[in-house]
Amino acid sequence: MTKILIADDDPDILELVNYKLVQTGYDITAVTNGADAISRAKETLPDLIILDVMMPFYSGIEVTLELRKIPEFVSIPIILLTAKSMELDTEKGFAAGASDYMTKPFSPRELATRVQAALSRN
Amino acid sequence: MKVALILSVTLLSLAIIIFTFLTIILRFWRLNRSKRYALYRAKVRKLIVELTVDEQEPSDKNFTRKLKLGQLEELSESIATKVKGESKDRLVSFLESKGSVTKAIRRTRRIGSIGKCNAASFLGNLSIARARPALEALLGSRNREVRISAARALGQLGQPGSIPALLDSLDKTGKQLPFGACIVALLDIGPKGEEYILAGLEGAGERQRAACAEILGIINSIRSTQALIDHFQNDLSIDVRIRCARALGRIGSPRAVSQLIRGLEDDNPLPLRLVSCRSLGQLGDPEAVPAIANLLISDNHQLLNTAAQTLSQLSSEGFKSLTSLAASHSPNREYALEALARKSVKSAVIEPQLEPLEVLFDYQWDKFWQTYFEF
Repeated sequence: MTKILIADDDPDILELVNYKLVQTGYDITAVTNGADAISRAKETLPDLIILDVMMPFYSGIEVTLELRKIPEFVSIPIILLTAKSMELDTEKGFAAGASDYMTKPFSPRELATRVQAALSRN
Repeated sequence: MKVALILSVTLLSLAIIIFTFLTIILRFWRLNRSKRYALYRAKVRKLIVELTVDEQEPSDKNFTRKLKLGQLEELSESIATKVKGESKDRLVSFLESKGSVTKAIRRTRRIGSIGKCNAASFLGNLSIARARPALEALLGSRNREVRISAARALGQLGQPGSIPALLDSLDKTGKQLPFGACIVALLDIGPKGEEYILAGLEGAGERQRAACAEILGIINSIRSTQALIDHFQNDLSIDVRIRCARALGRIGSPRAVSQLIRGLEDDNPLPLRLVSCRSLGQLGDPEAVPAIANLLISDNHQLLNTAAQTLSQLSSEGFKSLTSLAASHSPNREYALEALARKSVKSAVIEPQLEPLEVLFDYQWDKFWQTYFEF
């Protein structure tokens, strides 16, 4: 089963994404901060990672930078979730190694499609 | 006597034991009830998430108990702000079917400002289009927080038709909408409200015209350039003229250059001269260089600083006038040196291969770095 790691400090977002992706048939691991995202990613070696940009301890961009340094994570797709007002951060996100980004508020269906597309590209 | 005493002590002890026992049971029951309620609340939250993500609506039998007043709305509102498109529409139609939207609209007419604020926020977060009249009516509330909540909600609805009401509320005596709240709402509505904002620039209220000028600049409304130039020249309010100057700089129309140059003249108020100068810098037209360079002989610190910084952004002509002032013995050369130093620092980051400027060789960089980081 395809493994996906989601990191977001907002319980609503976490639940919405979790529900949609479990329904689509993925195996989900959910965490609420950047530090946990790094450690769980190392433990579970997911096939795709979804990160919120603004998170406690490490931001989504910092997590991306950190993970991209590890050889196992060089080619794993990373999707960033960012608030509409923080769209400028996407440039930094892409520079850090993110594969795609979505702005919040988001459409769960669109997210599922992007996840599928990113996985098939990979 | 002794028997009566023993009897009363026994009865009293019994009463205390019964009372303690009942209190424990009641506590336990209450705890259990709030636990069960929390579990039910979590279940309803899960149902709302499922409803938002899924295509199918949960049946009424899933809602076995009535939630406490406003809890369904609170749970839904929190999730509604995170999703968009069909997911949000599904959530809204579910709440419509539960009567929550009608209830919220009704609550905007009730007494009590907290209830009104909550209702406005609920209607705005869910983008309920039919709530517009109710929200517009709240703009006339005597309570400032209610007016702010209503403006925010109207911005979230994003209907250009609500712009006249928002603008009118800026100049209502005693019931004024705070300027910032209006600006945020107008920005949320965005460029689709351009026509209404342009019309608002001709309004009678000073704050209304100021808000319109500000927004037209932010949304980069090229078609409003002439109207902004007219108001920059002729408006009776200095605040409106200043905001027009700023808007013209943001829009970047070369048509505004000559007017903004006139804005630098001595007989204008200082804030207007400062903003005109900055806007000319944004326009980047070399035609403005001599007029701005003239300000370098001013005795006003703010004007000198702004003129020097603006010249450093302008073409090579502006740069030349700065370097010649920096090389001179004028008392104002410090301003030119600082502007050149700032420019050099920025250039060094972008193009590190550039040669350093000769006039800056003996510049007091220690002092510069202090102010640079404070700035």
